[in-house]
Order: sequence, then structure tokens, then C-alpha cells
Amino acid sequence: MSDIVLDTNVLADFIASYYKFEINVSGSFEEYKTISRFFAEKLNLINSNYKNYGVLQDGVIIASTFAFVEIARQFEKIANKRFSIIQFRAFIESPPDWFIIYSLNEELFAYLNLLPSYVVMPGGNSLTLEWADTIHVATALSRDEICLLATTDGRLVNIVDIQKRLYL
Amino acid sequence: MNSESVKFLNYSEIESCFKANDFSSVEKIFKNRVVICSVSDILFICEQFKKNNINTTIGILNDNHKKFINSGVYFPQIDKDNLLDNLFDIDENDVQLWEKACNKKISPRFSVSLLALRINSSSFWNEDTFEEMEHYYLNFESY
Repeated sequence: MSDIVLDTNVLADFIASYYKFEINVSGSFEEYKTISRFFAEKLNLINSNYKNYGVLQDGVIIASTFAFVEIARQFEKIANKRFSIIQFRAFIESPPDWFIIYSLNEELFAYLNLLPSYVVMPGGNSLTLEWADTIHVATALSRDEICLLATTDGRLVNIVDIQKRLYL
Repeated sequence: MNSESVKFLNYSEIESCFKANDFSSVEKIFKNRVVICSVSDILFICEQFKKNNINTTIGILNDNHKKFINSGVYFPQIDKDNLLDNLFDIDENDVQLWEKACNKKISPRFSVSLLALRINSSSFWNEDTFEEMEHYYLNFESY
């Protein structure tokens, strides 16, 4: 099964879900904002198989440390009282065993280099892509070839070369 | 290790090497010092050179990246431990985000550089190196 990289907004909804549905106790994910019912079921499968059998056969969930930095840069807007700074730090300190906090390091250079500088939107206009926008894509590319990307960024979903990796 | 032995290589200096396809100046610096860079600066190089078609193909950029890395520069990465050490200000009664890096008034590049080079118990560079980086960015941005 595929691993899935979360972008900043999906990560924020994931952390909010984690506390809202008390996943760290015995809760289950439910459909919530960018977490679709299908995605919630996948998360529950990963969680239950790890809890019950100690296996990660259904993949792992990944977020770049940069996604956490982006949440921190606009915490009030993104967290929006759904989780506190203390909960945010607690999640970083002790995420579930099936969640990987992936380093932002210079090795992503080669993967950023594979991505275009511009993306053509459905209406035909071109929008620029900056390194900060594409870190999550590069993170997915740096994993194996079946690592998927959960993103709601309108520019990222229109990058032709990554269509097969889009999850949401 | 004292501050004399650690050199912060700023974006302009990295850019010059990439433009010239020549990293000998970095190697010269290395004779006496450890050279550290911000990870966001090298990723920004990739963006800028592609966007502006500066002296580059994917192959040349990757080759220059390898040459640069092989010169021995050190990039403090942003990993989980870095987040725990540097993203927050903690005292006995409170946990807050480190305001200097955690705001939208500065670029993501500056935020990452502040976090990567913030002094903590595992840093081998000192406050002077951090300030050198900070002053470089402050020439272009303000808090």
C-alpha cells in the first residue's frame, strides 16, 4: 500500500482530527474538511492494523517539517482554535508510530529540480511555483515511486508530471 | 569551536559559485573553517536558476549541487528534533511559538534559516554566526 505525504492544510486538518476524534485514546477518524471519508477509512485501517498487529502494511502518513513550520507561521489562522500550541508541540513530540515527520534537508534539491517553475491552470493562465510551494511534492518524489501526495493546492494539482501521485 | 572557525555562507555567495560553475572559493574558505549554509538558501537557488534560466539545465544544476555538497558545506536540517528545540519558547508555565521565526511578516526562507541556525544545546556554531545570517536577511526583509 502507498505512503501518503500531507501538505500544510491537510496536515492541519489531520492534527485537528487527531485531537477532535481522540485518536490517541481509542477514537476513529471521520470525514472532516480535507479528510474525505475515503481518506478517513484509510487512516483508520493504518491505525487499527498497527495497533492490533503491529504492522505498517497499509503504508504510513508523512509530513515535511516544513509543513509544521508553515502552520507555526500562521498558527491562529490555520489552527483556528482546533488545537492549541501545547497540543501542536505534543503531536510533534509523540506522533503515532505510523506517522513520519520528514526532514527538510538539502537532498530535496534534486527533486525540486525535477519540477516545473510554472504551472498552467485550467483557464490557461500560468502561475509560478516557488520552492516553498513544492516542498511537499519534492518530499513525495524523494520517497519511493508509489508515495502519494494529499494536497488541496490548486497549483500543485495541476502539475502534469505528478497527476498519478495525487491522493485527494 | 569559536566563531572564527565557523563561516556562514550567505545566498549571494552561494549564487556566485553556481553562476560561475566554480566552487573553489568555498574550498578556500574551508582551509581554516567550517562552512554552514541555510537549507532554504540552496533550495531557493534551485528555484531561482530554473525560473530565470540562469546558466542551467537540470543536469548542470544537479552537477553544481553535487560539487557544492562535496566541498563539505554543512546544512543544519530541520528535523523533528530541531522543531522541538527551536520552534517553541518554553518556560515552566508556558509554551509559545518562537515569535521571531513564526510569523508571516518574513519569508518562509527566512523562517527556515532562523530555525535551522537558532542556537541550542547541539549547535557547534555560536551567536555570532547566527547573527551573521540574521543580518544578511535583514538587509532584505524586516521583522
